[in-house]
Amino acid sequence: MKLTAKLPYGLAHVILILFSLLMLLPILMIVNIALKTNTEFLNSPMAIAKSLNFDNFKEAWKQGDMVVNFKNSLIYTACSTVLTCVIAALAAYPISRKHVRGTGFLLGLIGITLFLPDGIVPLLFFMKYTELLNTYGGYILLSSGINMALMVFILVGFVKNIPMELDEAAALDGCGYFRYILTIIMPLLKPAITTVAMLKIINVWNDFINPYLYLTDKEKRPLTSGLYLFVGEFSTDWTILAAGIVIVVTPLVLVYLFLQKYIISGVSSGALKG
Amino acid sequence: MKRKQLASLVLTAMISSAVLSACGSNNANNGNQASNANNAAATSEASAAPDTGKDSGKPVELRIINWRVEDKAFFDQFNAKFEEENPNIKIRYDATPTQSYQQLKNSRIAANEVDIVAGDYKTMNSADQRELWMDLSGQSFLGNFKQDALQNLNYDGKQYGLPWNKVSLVAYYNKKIFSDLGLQEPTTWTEFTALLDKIKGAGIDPILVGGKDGWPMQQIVHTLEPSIVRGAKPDFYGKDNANVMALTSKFTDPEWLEVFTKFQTLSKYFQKNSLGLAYGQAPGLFAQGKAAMTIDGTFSLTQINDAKPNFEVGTFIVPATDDAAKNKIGYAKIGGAWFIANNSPNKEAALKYLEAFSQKDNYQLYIDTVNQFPVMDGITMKDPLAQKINDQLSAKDAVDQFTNIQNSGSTYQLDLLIKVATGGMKPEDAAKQWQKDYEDSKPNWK
Amino acid sequence: MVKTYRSWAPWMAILPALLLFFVFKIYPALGTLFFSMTDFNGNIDHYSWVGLKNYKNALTINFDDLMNAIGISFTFAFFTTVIQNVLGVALAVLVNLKIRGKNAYRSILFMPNVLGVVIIGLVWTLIFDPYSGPMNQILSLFGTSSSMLGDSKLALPLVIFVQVWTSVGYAMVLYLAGLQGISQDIYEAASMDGAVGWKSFRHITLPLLQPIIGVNILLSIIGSLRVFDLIMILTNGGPDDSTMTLGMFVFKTIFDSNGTQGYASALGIIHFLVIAVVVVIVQTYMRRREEKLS
Repeated sequence: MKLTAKLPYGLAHVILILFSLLMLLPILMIVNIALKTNTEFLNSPMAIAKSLNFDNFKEAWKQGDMVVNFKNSLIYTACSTVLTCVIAALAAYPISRKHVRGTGFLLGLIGITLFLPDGIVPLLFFMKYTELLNTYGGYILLSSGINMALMVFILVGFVKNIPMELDEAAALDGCGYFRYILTIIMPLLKPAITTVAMLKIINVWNDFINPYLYLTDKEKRPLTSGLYLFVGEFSTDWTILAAGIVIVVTPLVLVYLFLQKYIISGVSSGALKG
Repeated sequence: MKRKQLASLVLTAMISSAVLSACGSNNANNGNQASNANNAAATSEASAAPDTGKDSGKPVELRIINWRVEDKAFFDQFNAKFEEENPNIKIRYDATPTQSYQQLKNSRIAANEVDIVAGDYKTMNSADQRELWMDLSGQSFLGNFKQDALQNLNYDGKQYGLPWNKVSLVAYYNKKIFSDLGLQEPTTWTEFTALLDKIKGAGIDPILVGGKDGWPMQQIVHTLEPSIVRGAKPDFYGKDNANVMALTSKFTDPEWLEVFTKFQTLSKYFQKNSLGLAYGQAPGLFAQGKAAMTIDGTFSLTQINDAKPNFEVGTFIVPATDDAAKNKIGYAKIGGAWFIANNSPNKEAALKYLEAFSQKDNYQLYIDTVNQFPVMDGITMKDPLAQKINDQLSAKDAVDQFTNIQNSGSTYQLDLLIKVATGGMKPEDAAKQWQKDYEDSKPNWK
Repeated sequence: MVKTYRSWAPWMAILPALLLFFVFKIYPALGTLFFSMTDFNGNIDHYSWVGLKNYKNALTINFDDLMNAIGISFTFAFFTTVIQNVLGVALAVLVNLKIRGKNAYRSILFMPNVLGVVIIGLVWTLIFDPYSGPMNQILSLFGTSSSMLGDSKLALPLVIFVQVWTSVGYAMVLYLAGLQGISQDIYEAASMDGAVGWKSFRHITLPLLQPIIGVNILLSIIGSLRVFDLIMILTNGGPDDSTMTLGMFVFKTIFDSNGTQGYASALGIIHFLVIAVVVVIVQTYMRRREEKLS
């Protein structure tokens, strides 16, 4: 038994290592470019950097106003992620359990929302006349709303896996509806919610164009808008852009690594109970 | 657990009420909207009578958008200086890359959230587009600019845009390779093709082109067209393209056929896989000495210099015909221009901004910082090679009418040019196809 | 089930999400529908109602281009969806094994998603560069070369590759969450009956994963039919329109000197309808399958 199990594991490692390299090499390439001088890059873009040159990072940090923008990015990402997770979980449970009439219609509506055409001008009008344009609150609501459908859609699928018996037990305990979703269902959805949260974090953190459209004050812009400064009309300032990319992406990678652990601990604690 | 739960509940309540109140205040704000409209009406009256100028002391936020992110250094400096000189004006300047700029522009204009807009001839090439912009005619600061540059942004006697600079195409060449092969700058088409053959014969790629993005191919056609088409028939297009629209001048005429044929000839001297090379890579590769020449925009000079070539770079303008008089007609287009939104409530401040931009010292600073070619007399360029190109360009009667032609889609010529370049289509067929596409787009002409 | 909650409670729970849908998705889409029947061109004070003229123009003047774009969109969506989901399930199963370094693998495979589309597009442009890019250096070892994204036969497969590269980690994570929802007891019980390896995958994992597969396939189809930003950066629809998907086509119209925003809105609505038809067909098929299985 042991021996037969070992062989495919070796194969699994080989496949996974190949795929990992495929994913990692392009990313390492950016780090490599970030360490080059502009002349070095223009002359041999792919060669390994001759020396460690951190000027690009300094330059990207300074030119991109990244101190102010960093704080904004944190606020937008944190608030809209929490908002999205709570709202999506609240909506996913009754829909998945068919607790309201017309769940079919609602699901259809959610499905359609996934691919409705954008309407920047109408949305801008709404934001302007509700005075949400160019406010923290407005942008947080917008980034929560913009792909809420996807998040609800994902969670609805996962709620199905939670046994119905639990609902009945809770009902006998006299547990309130909201309390039940927030205290019983949400913790059970931990892996799924962590996934949704991660997608949302990436989504808000990386948003390039929306901050320009809906935040007219520079002081309110997130980190990514700093990156835009290096993509020119005719030429791209590659070395500084690469350094900017590293700066912007590093926090996301750290958050992902952290949440990754969290997903696993959630699952293993579930396994212990069982 | 309890605290967490409470926090979640409070949060939900907050969101619901926030969203609800957002919807509610939509109605409440209708009054506000109306008063905004009144304001706009009031200011447009004020600008109709520009002598008032009494309320110039009230604080104004001037909103400017641009796609030239690389010009940040200049605008940071210039905007700070402008704010200092006009303490009541606060500038909100935004630049996004070209690809997102259209979205930004459309939405800001529609929401009336912008005063000064960066644009080019496309920004004013239809009647309902022109309606969006203020007529700048009669403003004293226009006098500083060259007449032909202003003409490019003028329609029916109305001046819509204020030009920044001009861009053109030149052949950058490697002086070392040229002297090794005993070559000289060509002055006629025959000399040019003979030179190309010689370089190719020596086993060197004659012309390096970053063709993946398509438009660099289009640019090469732009350099050939003026001497050939307008050299032969100065009035080929007619006023505001009237002859082309009336179909008395066609793209299947011998002049345009010559352009396509010569483009195909040139394309045989491009480096291998030229259609896959990203545009931004070309200057760097040229600077490494990978080819004898690159035909590129004047705007690429900075990039070539940045790559620190270990040879001397020379430039000449591609001679498209054998007739010196025809070759005198060259290609140049306006690199960009300022437009003032007609609905802007801050027109007075916007005009002040353009006036400051047009001042000779500021404009010289602009040219020095962005290293583009000036459209104002008496402006010099710091870089000696740039100064040389500037002299070469100034010796030409530069016009840009070709790009103003209405067409059915921005991709049409590219597809044709790519087919011509790969040898997959004969120049005659390309010309026919283009004429057909052009006529098909007639319902969209304005 | 015994009804113990107040009847309005579920509605209250759904309400915030519904409001956000309405404000940020449905209302703007209705706005687009409205503009699609006007000649709106940025000037909000001055536009007029043109009825279905924009649609008529799209289906007459631009008919060939439109059909070409739809065809390319379908090819793109089909290959991306199939490859991405097969690889996604396979990788999820592999990283769900109790093997050393599985956390590292998971993190690395998901990494491309962290980058964002703009960055990914720029990076792969460099890699596919025919002059100095690593891809052609590999090809030159075999004595050949190619203009990569500039080759009209190769451009679409390469764009599909980059799209799969980007999103396979995303699919993997969703499948992984699904796999972890399957109780270990089932596998243990099944292994007593001799169902291990491929057999347990075929008869336990796949059927239990069915709902997640449905979600994932639908999301991939919608995502790949909508895509334009990645293509915009990689090829801008070219060469020779070989990567001009419908999303890209709509986006390009906004740039077109003649395309009014009204016309672009009409194309946006047509894009939506095309996706809707595909989704309805796929959805119906999958629902039938699910019913058969359960």
